[in-house]
Amino acid sequence: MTRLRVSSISKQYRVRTPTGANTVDILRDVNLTVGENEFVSIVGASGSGKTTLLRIVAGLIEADGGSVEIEGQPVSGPGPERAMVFQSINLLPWRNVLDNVEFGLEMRNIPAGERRERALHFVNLVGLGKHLHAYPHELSGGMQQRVGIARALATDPAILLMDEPFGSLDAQTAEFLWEELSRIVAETRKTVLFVTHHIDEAIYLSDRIVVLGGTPAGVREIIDVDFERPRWTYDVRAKPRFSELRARLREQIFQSSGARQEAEA
Amino acid sequence: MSGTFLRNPWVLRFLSLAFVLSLWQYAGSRMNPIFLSTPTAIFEAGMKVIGSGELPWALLVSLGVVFSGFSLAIIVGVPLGLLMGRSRIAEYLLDPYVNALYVVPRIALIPLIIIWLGLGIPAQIAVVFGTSVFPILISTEAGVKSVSANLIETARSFGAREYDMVRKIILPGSVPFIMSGLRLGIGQAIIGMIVAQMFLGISGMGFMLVNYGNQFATDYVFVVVLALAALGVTLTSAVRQFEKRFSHWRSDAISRAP
Repeated sequence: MTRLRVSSISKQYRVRTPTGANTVDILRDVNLTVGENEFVSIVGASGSGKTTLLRIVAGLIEADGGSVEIEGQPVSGPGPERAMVFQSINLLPWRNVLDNVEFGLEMRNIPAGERRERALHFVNLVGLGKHLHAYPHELSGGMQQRVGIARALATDPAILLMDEPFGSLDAQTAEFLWEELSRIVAETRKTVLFVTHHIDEAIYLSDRIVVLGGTPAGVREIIDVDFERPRWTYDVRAKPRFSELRARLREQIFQSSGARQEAEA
Repeated sequence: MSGTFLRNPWVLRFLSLAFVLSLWQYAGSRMNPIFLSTPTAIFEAGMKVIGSGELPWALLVSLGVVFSGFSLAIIVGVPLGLLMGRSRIAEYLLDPYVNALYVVPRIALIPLIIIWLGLGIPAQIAVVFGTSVFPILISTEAGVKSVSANLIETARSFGAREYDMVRKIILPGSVPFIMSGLRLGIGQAIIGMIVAQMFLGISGMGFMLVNYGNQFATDYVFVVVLALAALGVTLTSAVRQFEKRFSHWRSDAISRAP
């Protein structure tokens, strides 16, 4: 069953130039679907519109054309079927861990008792049971992002949207969190749409990888990742197939010479 | 041994005060008492006005005026600041008045306040309100605009409506700025109170100041000035304590706000 269907999305941005305003095409005719319990990543070179696409799905910005459907229903604007995890994490600094996780539930008018119960469950799930009352500035970046993930999961969305959630963390913490995220997604049986610029991350986590590219960007290729789950029980990256996938993704992402020069500079 | 003793800040403060007071006592007792008075005469005058109940009563009246005017300034200034920070329309509708009133010395409005409210406590409260509302309003507005766009977007992604946004994101996010507005406002409130009581009071500490000044009772004037200094320090540090209590979640909150 299809959880998310993105149909012929297009988006333009207005940019100021010395001679006045101009419009630039960012996305043109983007189509993709995410099935139930599927983990789909969007990759692409910087400026390929990955985050723009995710923000359109989240309802934070409006597309200029096309539609987004969740479980067959067209959506516009943010809604309870989607929850977002941000690269900049964005916890409320004046709230402790539990109260931060309760935020999304407050917006849904869920009674205080049930809120607390659900928040506790998800804080424990992300492994922060010992830090219930800590404030964000007392937590490391990795711990803060766990809170960000718990906050999104607590609202029980039909699809979890993640915008480079580990992009601001150091490499070791990020890799550790790949495993954690795989485990959490498996336990909660969540559907995920995940944006990243990190190829290994995309392969490790995803069932399918969507490569965006071109100007304006469209879907260049969709690659199936067929490693067995759970993937933390063996070394996925030691498999020859992993290198093949990585090479193919690199090829696709850096296809345009401009992106290659920029990446190699 | 004596070196560390002489580096203790309290020892140095005490020595400095003792020196200045002795000098003052020496110089003052060799001059016309109207000009400088002496620490001992001021102490005696102080005991008299405390004993007679005149100073405690004046202090009470003054505190009441500051408290009423300042509370009114918070009740009006914070919501207006939130509104002006949040809504462009409200900002453009209101900022001509706010800017104009902010640059006019509020003391210049005293003749109008006398015409509207007469001489007495309501007029004094109005002056305190007028002097302290602007720092509170302007800091609140700046605080609203300082709230991170990322937090606002996050709240929106979780479906926050305007009411939730203001109550759960904007208001707590502007607390450090609102608090520094209160800190600036309380100083203005005390100035407003004294000026008001000097011009239109028949009670309170401002009136005592004018009254003893007119009688050339220099020692009594000094008593009132010292009492005002104590009042100012107490109120300002009370607001500072309040500020700390609301900013515990951000260790740099106080230094970040203006």
